[in-house]
Amino acid sequence: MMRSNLPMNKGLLPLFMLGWAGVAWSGCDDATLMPAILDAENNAENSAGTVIGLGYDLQCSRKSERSDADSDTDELDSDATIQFFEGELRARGMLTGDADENPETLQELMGAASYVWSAAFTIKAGLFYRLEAEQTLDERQEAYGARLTLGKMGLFADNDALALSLNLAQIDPETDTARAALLTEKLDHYDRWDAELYFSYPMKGEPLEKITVSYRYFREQEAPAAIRQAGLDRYRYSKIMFWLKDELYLAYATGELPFDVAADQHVELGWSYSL
Amino acid sequence: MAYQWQANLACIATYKTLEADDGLDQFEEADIPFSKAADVAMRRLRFYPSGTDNADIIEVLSIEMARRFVKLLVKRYSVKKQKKEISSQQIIMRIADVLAKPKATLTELAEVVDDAIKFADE
Repeated sequence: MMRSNLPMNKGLLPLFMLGWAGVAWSGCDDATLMPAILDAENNAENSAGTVIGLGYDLQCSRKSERSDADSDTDELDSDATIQFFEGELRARGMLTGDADENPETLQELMGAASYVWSAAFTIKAGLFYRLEAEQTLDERQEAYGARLTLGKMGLFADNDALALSLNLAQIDPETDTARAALLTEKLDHYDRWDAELYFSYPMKGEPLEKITVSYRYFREQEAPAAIRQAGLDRYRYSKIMFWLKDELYLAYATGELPFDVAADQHVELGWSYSL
Repeated sequence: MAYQWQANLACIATYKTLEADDGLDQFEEADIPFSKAADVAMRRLRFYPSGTDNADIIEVLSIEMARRFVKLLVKRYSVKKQKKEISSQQIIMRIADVLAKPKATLTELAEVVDDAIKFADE
């Protein structure tokens, strides 16, 4: 895999991010905003209390022509195998008024090419390039590699949903203060894999509509001893959300994502809104 | 002219398949009656993966849901493809594309169903 030559100095990075988000916004598909009230747990270095956040998710994708396997009959086959290639651009993250108090500070910009196949279950696999940064853009890195997502509905109940998403990436840190402080040599690339396990269980009772659980795990391969001792070689983040009517939700999250400001635990009350 | 939510086979089948307890059970009729279902967004359906912002997970689960939706349509109604040259997987994917968009409405889903699927009584 080749290293990107994109301009990553601090002056150009915001412009790059704005441009990419603009492409995703105007290009097509989906633009979702999720206002939320975030309550980050305080720690010695940060005085985070309750902060208002705005989650964003801008997506643009293009799919290849699909096969015409049964185009000689008018019978509708619900078991037909699905397969196609897809190219995507995406920007997502959570913004808060005071960036230093953002408990979900990870911002992501991604481009990817994938192959999708679906029959008894659905699988999506491909290659990706991703820029990860915290909201202030002081800490940022590139990631590129391979990814795989599996999904299946109806495993434990009629309409529950289970999905597993895996990424194997080479990380190229542009700036990473915590990492740089621990390593004597200059920042170098390293390998990391991450996974997200997602489960959704529908509820019919009042007032719950459904319960969703998401668990994310990041691990650096063969991390230097200093990185391991500082606990920067692995990150865990889990979130359980109780969905009420009218898209209101109550969420409890624990753990942290890369670049997070030690948000060990926080409770979130919010609602989902799409532009 | 934009597609209208009305008491035709496509809209009724879309609504019933999503709402029925022995269907996909995505909402309750008491909360969302047929007459008020036109602007209901996909993100309000119980299957929608609102608990994650992972687009790949949303996409694969939308394909799973689209297949279940079509399977129930075939089971509950006498349906065929509107056009022979459009493949079954294209129809499932068109439905999945709508299901994956959080702001897409039941009217948009019924429009795809009407355009792609022919009901026996039509």
